[in-house]
Amino acid sequence: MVDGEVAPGVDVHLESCADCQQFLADVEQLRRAVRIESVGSLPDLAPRILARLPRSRPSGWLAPAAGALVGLVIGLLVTGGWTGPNPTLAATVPESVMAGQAQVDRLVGRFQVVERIRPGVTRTYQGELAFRSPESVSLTVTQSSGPPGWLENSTLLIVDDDEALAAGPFPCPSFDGCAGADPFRKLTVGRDPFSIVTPAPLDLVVPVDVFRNSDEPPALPIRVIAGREVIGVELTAGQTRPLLDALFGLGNWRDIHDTDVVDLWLDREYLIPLGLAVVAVQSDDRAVWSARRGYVDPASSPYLELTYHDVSFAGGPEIKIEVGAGETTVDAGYRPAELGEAPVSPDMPMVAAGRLEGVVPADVWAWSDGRAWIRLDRAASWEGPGLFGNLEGVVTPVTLPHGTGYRAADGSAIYIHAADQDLVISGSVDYEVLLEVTEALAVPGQPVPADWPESTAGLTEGVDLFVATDLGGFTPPIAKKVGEALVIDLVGSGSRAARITQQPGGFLRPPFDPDARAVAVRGTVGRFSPSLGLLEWAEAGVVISVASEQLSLAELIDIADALERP
Amino acid sequence: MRRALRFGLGVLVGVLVGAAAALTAGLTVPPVSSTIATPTTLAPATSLSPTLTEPLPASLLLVWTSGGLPDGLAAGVASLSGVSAVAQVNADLVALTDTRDLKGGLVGRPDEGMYFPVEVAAFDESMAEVVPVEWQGEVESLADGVLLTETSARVRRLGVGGTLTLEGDDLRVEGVLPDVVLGGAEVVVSVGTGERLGVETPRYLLVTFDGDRAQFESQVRELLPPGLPARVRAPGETPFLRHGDAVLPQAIIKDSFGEFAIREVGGGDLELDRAWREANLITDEVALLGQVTCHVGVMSALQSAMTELEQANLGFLVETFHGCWNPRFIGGARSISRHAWGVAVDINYQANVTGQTTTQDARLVETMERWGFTWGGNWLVPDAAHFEWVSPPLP
Repeated sequence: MVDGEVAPGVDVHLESCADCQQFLADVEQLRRAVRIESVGSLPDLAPRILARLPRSRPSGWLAPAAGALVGLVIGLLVTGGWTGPNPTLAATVPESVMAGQAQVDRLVGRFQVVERIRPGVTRTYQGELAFRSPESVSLTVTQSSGPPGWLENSTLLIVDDDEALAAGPFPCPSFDGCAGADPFRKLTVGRDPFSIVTPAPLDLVVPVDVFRNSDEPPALPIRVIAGREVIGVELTAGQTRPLLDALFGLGNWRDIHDTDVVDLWLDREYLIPLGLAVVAVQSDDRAVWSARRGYVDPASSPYLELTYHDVSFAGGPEIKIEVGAGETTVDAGYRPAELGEAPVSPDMPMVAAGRLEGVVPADVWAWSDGRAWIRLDRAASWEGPGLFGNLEGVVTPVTLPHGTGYRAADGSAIYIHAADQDLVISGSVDYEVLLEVTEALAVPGQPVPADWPESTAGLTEGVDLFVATDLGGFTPPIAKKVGEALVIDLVGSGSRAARITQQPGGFLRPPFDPDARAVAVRGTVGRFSPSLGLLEWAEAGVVISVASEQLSLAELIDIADALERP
Repeated sequence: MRRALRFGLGVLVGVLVGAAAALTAGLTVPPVSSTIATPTTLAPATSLSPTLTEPLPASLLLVWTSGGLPDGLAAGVASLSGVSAVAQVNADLVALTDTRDLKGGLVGRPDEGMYFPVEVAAFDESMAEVVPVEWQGEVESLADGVLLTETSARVRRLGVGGTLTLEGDDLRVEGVLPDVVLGGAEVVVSVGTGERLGVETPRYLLVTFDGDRAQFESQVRELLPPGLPARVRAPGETPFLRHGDAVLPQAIIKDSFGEFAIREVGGGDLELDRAWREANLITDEVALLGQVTCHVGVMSALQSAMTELEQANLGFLVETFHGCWNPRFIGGARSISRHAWGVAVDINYQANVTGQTTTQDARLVETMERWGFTWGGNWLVPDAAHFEWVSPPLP
């Protein structure tokens, strides 16, 4: 068990005291029950509390803020005694993570993973994470035990600047293997810096993407893992997905339900995840989900655990890709190049400059400090339709000193469309830092053309469909036609965003999500696809969808209820 | 027990048909044209008005497995606690060689030596008793006739009183019902007629169940041979309660992309009638894929998806391409592949073999889905290289 503060001496006593064990189990069950009730009020994919982001930190660079926050953490630890949960300390975790990512220069750690499918059916793994920089990371997970006859689930991921090697079992729907499912070994060359296609598992180093835009997570008691004090916070699996994907992105693992509870334990000094435990939340939907997969997940104990047993912040192995073992190779098209002076100078060392070759060539610069990174892409020949580099969809315009920019919904990127160039400024750092870099570029950004999806120019002439008129918590919605569809983007605080789409039609398309379920919406029967965050229904000859990766089903239904036909 | 089954089926089909009435009123498929990716009109019908006020009860459940139901599954499911009724639907491909209108005038006939491949479903007799009053007469007359779905009737250009010649057997059209009522099948016959036509493969069950759905799904799993997955759906989760519910029924494919006649040429390959080929297929340049032959109705969406990937410098995600139009049966089955219509593509097949899961990059999948192609990687038997058109693009 990861949760629960248990001193070493108590551990020994517990082993010989049945009554004590029962008492502890009862307390744990009670705590779970209370906790599950609390978590049950959270949205499916991310907490409602994202709306209350404490984003008031003034602009500035990482180091001073990091020092202050880490100092605060240490100070609280020293003076607190730490016999129980400390909400004040937990509340600082999101900002500490964002600010503290520059503090980790090197890391080597070894951990164990326990994966439970159902009672008596368990796999265990030994893993090693080595980090020398955001573009020099290796993650090895080796299965050490498991049911006989099952496909061995050992994986390897090495990121070494412009190369990445991924290896593991061929993913198979059945744990005991598929005919012809030989292990795969894939080498990516020409990998661009901080690639989104072959990402380094950086949230295992400092979980920036987990806590970006996060508010105050519930606190867990302080405990010790791998000889280090750790701060515990409680999240949903949906919130923790970037970290879970970093760990389980390769291989043939069991699924994790987004509503489940994750106890996450972070090194108090460096905020590195040194332990996590995933516990099933009991609900009808989840019961169906687990029945389909053959899982039996008790509410009283974790079905997935990761625990470090040693960790070091110095030394470590050289991270280098050894090729020649039958890899398939793909070329992502990036070439290091002399690009001359960078158009901006963030307060970090530059770590890469080069060119992405393709039909839309782009110059790329990257800077990094510790785990933190910033990247600038610049294209001179982009013609749309749509913001260059925007793969996320919903953006919101921002006013910059020199013109207009567009902020990604989660604050991880800013896009600029200018007369002679198109730019993307992205990174792991706080949005305010990206904003400073963007402002320093002094590029006169323009509003995008009216027929681009990101345009805020309303284009609904002659359209007689549903519109949203009163949606509290979101910017005033603007509807626009995109092809045959009417699209309304909603942007709220933090990362809250949703897209409403309407198209003529009388029935829903076949479901894309195997776990899609029927829901009541606007007096009819709709469908919710959890993996897509997609609510759909047909009404008055129109197929309507509300999609969001951040909002809960209840919030999507609230948005649906607010639609009116003018 | 039999009576109880029928009573329960009455309830479940009442729900089903209620849903049908709500969901298929004016069932329309967007018109297919070469401008499908960038349609210019936005003219929603106003006559459609779903009336359901609550989620359809989970008491009505669909159960299907790939390649047909295993022996004894219907009886096994019927014996489960909480199950009050089970209906089994058989379905197979049947050769249609002639259609005539009410007056005996010829409506459709394929070229010499060819036939129209038609999906025929056979409902057992208990289905007739449980259909609500509105449809009871039509279903009772099934003994020697056929029912068509609204979509199928449109494709056939036939109404009540018309005649279909199936496997040499002249069968009268006794009724035209909403697609959802008949599980989207092109033609529905009785079990007896189905046996005569060779429609004997059990495809899916409709079950009334009162209890815990998770427990039901677990129990169904235990009834299946090891390694055979099953899909369980309730109304609202999928537009048609039928087998293969992740894709459009063949009737809707024909309505959208036209109907061809076929001649089997061996090895599972098919020859399609020339008129359909000339009117519907197009060969054009597609970014990342090169020269591609597809249906004219999906070419634009495919070009848009591939161009989007290329312009995002993600072209390297498409490592190999294995074609779009390919007239053949689905491997190992006597069902027409959607490749025969040219509305599906296979990408990166070597690394995404049928039956295994996937190494496809999520951005490739997301882009294809946004342009209206469903991904086979989530299917009951994964086919992760396969992308099949199911809807106009979603921005």
